[in-house]
Amino acid sequence: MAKLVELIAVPHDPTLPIAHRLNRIGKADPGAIPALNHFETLREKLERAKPDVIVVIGSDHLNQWFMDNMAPFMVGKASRLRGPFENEVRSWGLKEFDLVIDGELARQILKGGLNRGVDFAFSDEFAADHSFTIPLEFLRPQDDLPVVPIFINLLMPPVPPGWRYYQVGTIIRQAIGDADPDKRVAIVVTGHMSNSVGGPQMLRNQVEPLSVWDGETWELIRANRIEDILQRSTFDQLYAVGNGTPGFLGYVLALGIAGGAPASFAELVATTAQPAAAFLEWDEERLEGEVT
Amino acid sequence: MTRYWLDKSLRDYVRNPDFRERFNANAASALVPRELSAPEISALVGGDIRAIFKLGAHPFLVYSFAIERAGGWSFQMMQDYVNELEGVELGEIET
Repeated sequence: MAKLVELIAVPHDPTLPIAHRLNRIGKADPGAIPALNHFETLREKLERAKPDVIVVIGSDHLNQWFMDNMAPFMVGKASRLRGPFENEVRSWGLKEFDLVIDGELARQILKGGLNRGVDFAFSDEFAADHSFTIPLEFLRPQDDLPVVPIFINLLMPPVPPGWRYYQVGTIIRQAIGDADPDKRVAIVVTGHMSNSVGGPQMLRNQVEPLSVWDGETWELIRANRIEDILQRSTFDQLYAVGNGTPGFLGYVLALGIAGGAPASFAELVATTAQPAAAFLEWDEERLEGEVT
Repeated sequence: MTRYWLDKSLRDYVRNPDFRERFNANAASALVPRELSAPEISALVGGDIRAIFKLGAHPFLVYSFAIERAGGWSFQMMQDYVNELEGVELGEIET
């Protein structure tokens, strides 16, 4: 069985790379510094885990997958992962990527999912938007590892309920277990806490950095109360909190990958600089059930 | 349901340079082959963010359209966008 050596769940706010650049010249919004620091901590943890490959799980923002043919869960198995899109580079100055895809692992996850009841879609032609590239920009800036992209629909309803994202997470982990026993696999998942990108409440965090929903949900995460989290994780429930909040389903999927293990690193950043952002990490020992 | 074509028009404006060029030259003409309601055409032709949003377009697509129309993202652009949507309630967005 391939070994899952690291699991990380982070935000993909495109203002954070801007803050990162400004921080180098001492001009970043102080409210962005904790998020930048957490990314750096997790970058170090990922490096210490010595992965051979990173499975990156995020949501295309209707940049390529669209309502002409929308899949809830899709494995990318082309030879390379390129991105982000030109307009994203232009708007936010995002780093461009051209990474090798581990096609063998991609196919093992795809087939392992199909064998276990996840009817993954698959694609041999795609690009990575900012939800894939921003976590990689912070967490693995060396661009030295192959990746496997898994696209999950977090934006366009209807989408499956939260329990299904959790279940798919558990099955992705099982499917990774089918792979080469010498392979060390890390997983990076991205999503949102409360979020209203593109909606009338987009700047709500400037007056209310920590919403009631964020506070309550974070307490549930810290207490590892999975059932309670799933009870409040349908698209409609999350959309009512803010139009981008269904992005929380990415974190729900990460909890499924963790399989009930409590996170070994958990920090919530709630400031006026960006929407509330959760940073979660499970190290190899924690993933194996060893609570230290 | 014409909302799909409303969303697709917003997406194409961002992702399809040929459509964007035709839309910028003559928006009404660029939209002719599309299955859109009269209010949808009016909102798109006028670049009326608030009206487009209230018609049920996907918020992220409306925002992406606004960014492209503004020539790129900036904090000021984001503030102006939110001001345009002040008081608007979230509605149904399924196509």
